[in-house]
Amino acid sequence: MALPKENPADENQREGFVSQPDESAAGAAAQLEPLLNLLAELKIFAGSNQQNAEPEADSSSGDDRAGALGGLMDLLGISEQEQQQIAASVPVSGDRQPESVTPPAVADQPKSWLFPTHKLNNSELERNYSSAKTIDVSADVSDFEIESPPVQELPNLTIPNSPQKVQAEKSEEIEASISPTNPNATLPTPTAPSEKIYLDAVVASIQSMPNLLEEPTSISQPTEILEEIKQDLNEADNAMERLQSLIFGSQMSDIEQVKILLAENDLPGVRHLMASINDKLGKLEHQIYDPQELIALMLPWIAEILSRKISDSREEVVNAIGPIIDEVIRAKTLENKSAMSSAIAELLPDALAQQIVNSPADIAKAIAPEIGLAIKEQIRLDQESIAQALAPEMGKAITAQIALERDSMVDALYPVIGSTIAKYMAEAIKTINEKVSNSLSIEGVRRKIRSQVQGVSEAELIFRESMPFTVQAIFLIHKASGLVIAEAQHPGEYQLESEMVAGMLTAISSFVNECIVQPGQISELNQIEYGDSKIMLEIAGYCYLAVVTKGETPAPFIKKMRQTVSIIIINYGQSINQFNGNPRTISDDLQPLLESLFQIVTEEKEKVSKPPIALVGIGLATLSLILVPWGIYQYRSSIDRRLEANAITALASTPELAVYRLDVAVDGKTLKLTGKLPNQELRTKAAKIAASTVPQLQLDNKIIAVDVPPDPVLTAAEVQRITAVLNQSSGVAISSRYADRKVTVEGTVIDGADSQKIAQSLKQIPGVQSVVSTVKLDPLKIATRIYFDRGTTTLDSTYGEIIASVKNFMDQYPQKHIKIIGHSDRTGELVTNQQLSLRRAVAVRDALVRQGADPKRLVAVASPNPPAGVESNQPLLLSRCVLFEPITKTANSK
Amino acid sequence: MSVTISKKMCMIGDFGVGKTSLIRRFVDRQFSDQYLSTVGVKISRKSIVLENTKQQEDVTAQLLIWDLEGHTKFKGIAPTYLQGASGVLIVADVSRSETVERISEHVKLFSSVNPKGSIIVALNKVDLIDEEKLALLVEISHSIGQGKVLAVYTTSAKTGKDVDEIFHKLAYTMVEQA
Repeated sequence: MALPKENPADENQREGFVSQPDESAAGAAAQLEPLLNLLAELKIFAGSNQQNAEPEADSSSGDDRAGALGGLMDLLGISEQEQQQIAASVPVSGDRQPESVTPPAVADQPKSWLFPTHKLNNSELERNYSSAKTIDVSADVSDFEIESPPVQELPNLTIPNSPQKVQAEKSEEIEASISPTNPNATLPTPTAPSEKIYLDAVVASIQSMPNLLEEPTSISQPTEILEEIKQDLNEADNAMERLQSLIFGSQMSDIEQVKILLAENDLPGVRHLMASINDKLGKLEHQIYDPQELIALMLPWIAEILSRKISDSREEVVNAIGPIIDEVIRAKTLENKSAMSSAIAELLPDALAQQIVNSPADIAKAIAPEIGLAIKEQIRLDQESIAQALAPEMGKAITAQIALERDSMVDALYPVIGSTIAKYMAEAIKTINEKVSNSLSIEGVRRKIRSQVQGVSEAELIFRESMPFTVQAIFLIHKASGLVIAEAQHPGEYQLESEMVAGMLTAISSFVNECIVQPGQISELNQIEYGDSKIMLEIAGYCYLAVVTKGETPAPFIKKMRQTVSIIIINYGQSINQFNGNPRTISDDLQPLLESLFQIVTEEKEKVSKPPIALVGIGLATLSLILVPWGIYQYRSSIDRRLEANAITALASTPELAVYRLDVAVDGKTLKLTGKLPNQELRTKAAKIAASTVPQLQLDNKIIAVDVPPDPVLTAAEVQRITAVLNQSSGVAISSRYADRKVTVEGTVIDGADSQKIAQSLKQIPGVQSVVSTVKLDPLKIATRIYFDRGTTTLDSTYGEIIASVKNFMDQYPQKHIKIIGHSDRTGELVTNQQLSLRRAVAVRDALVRQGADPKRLVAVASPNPPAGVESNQPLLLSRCVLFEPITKTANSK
Repeated sequence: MSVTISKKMCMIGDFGVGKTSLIRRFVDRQFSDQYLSTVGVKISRKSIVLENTKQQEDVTAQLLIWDLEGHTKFKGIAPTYLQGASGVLIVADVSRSETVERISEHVKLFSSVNPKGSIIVALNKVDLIDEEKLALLVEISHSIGQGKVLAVYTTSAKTGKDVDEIFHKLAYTMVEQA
């Protein structure tokens, strides 16, 4: 018994160590089927994976001994009923109850599972070890271990009740340990002792059980149990020895002898086996401790283990991995941030999108608190980009954030909005100013308007304006609590009780929002006026600036005040938000910032003393701007006037032009003449004279030659006179009328040229613009004809009268020539007739010449045609004639 | 070296329970039987020196006590006045048990505005009733407290019983909390 006790101490540790890394392997008992089958065969193990898993679960969930033991009993194949029966049969109470209960139950068993163990020969054992399936082996073996101490404990506990039974069992146990010895004693390998030693050696493996069961807390208790068991064992041993000595007496020595024999003969073998086991265990340990080896060992199975376990009991896996998964992720993140990021990155947008779909409110809540801060920071970094990025979703996002937390939104946007609006307003005001300043002085008009609007006299307004502006105090107040964050008061003046002022202002603000503003809306108090003082409030998200002032507030001060609030929000927003009344939490820089507002006022005052100089300067500049061009203009125009005067004098000294009014204007380098003159000649003359006086200038002659209507009476008389003159010429018989500067001529003329002459003559009369001529051409004719007898060319004496009349005609129209045309009848030869006709014409010409007519004015020709107006059916006599035709010999005269 | 920490605290409770009287007693050391209803808000200030605080140095707590218009059947207490308060004294009148019953309502209101604020209950006018009845009321108000109430004091603005203690206790808690 001494030997087994030594070894457990060694192996205790090893087993403990071995089993720990092997937990997963134990969990995946399924992987160890061959061994399980073997154990099932041996009836030691229940045979099914399920049953193997159960005790694990049992013992891991409960850490009391009973639970652990119950698990063990399950392993041993003891049903719950049995346990209860046992418990009922043994009226022992207390912690030990389960232990004390066990023996009766297993008392019948030892043989059944001790004997089969002998089948487990050495090679099998070795195989089991070497195939790294120690866990189950040890687990199973631990059954023995658990079993055996109670057996030994039994006498101690049950002696009063059944000493015989105990004795029998004890002997059986001894037999069990001894009887195999005999058959094996002859074998080269000392199986039996090894068996026993092995059993004892793994006694300690009870400790590995809790480890296997993945429940660290349960380790200690089984260990305690073990310790108690061992203690009991020792007591039992002692009792046994005493009992043995009582019962067997001398027989004992035999047993002792056998023992000694065994020790002598087989101990080296056992030692050898132990050594080999140790060696193998060492190897195993090495395998397990060397991560590479372990990985190599487990690698092919891990996936399978996990998948089976997951399919078996999802919950457990989740529970097992759950607690560490965050650590795993964190560790991996530390190790390789970028890889982790890229792994998650792909999922993030989808995950976020999904979550937004699933529960938009949660996402909003998660992000919202930081939005204000994020925007503020980004605005500080790059105002443009935030504008671009936010624009599309701005409306929705802002609405949501305002609903969640209005104040942080105000703080976030304040620095941007203020300047944006200010910029917009500045532009608007600038245009208004321009309009106003174009008409009158800005200040004056503004004052007038204000006096109208406020119903105050202008004088009072002027008085008010002349009041100097002073700042009494500046407070930065925490909006929610009304506590003063920082303050600056004018030194030397009456000091305001800042906390009271701040509190009351905040209360008023609250009151306004509570009782005046419509529910759901929020408005802020802007200023409070009292007497000639007022408190201006510039409100941000978590704080507001209250400035107590006196007098008319200058615009730059308001601007500076807003800037200051912006700066405060940007730089101290966080600490202001979390202000709890302790001034230490607020930066010391706030104080100077507030005091800088006082400086603005003093600067303002300095500026006020300056204006006269600036004003005078500006006034002078304006004046010179007006006067200089005016002077130049005056000088230049005086030169012009002089030139003009010269030109006018020159024009006036010309007699023809003196009566007419002419204007002369010098404009730059051109001399402009305007006015009216009756005709073109005078116009040209005037231009010439003007140009001669100012030769250096270009002449722009704008004089209009006016058509002066002459006296219509005179014109009419002149028309009548010309008409009379024209009527003097022969063949002209015309009459004329004059009306509306138009002459209408009627009548007849002999010659076409005469009608033209008449028109021209009338047109030349001054005052006649146009001549309408309806003068008809009335050519001269000599109707008389001289007839001849057939075949003759001699002129009858009766025609002397006709000749004389023709001679008269010629005398009357000396400019006319006479064409004498001879005709003949159609009888006879054409050529003869032609000659005949010509001779008849010549006869008449000769007669005329004899009468004294100028032969040059006479032309005798023959016509082959019958005379005009004579038809072929008329008597032939009519065809044998001579005709006279007066012709104008202008073309033919040469 | 000392530091002055300002703290906003409120007095709430039904009308006529003695909020203003408690403040008068604490701030001005005076008491008057005359009842004057508070309209809107009245802010009082009192600085007290706190010893043995977490801070190494001496701490002067500047209490800004917002005396709010009492709760009536027709008009509740405006939550905006409670904003930013580090603590509250909920006052009830032991001679009017309904004011004690309404303590839980006030606790709820204040917690909703300032979840981290400290709450102390003052059962005022203890000079008016006997010990036995008082014990019962204290028990009731303790149960009403719902674990949010730091302490329940029995006070009397008339005699000055526990008035300073209640303000000191609240000031101490508010400063420690921060």
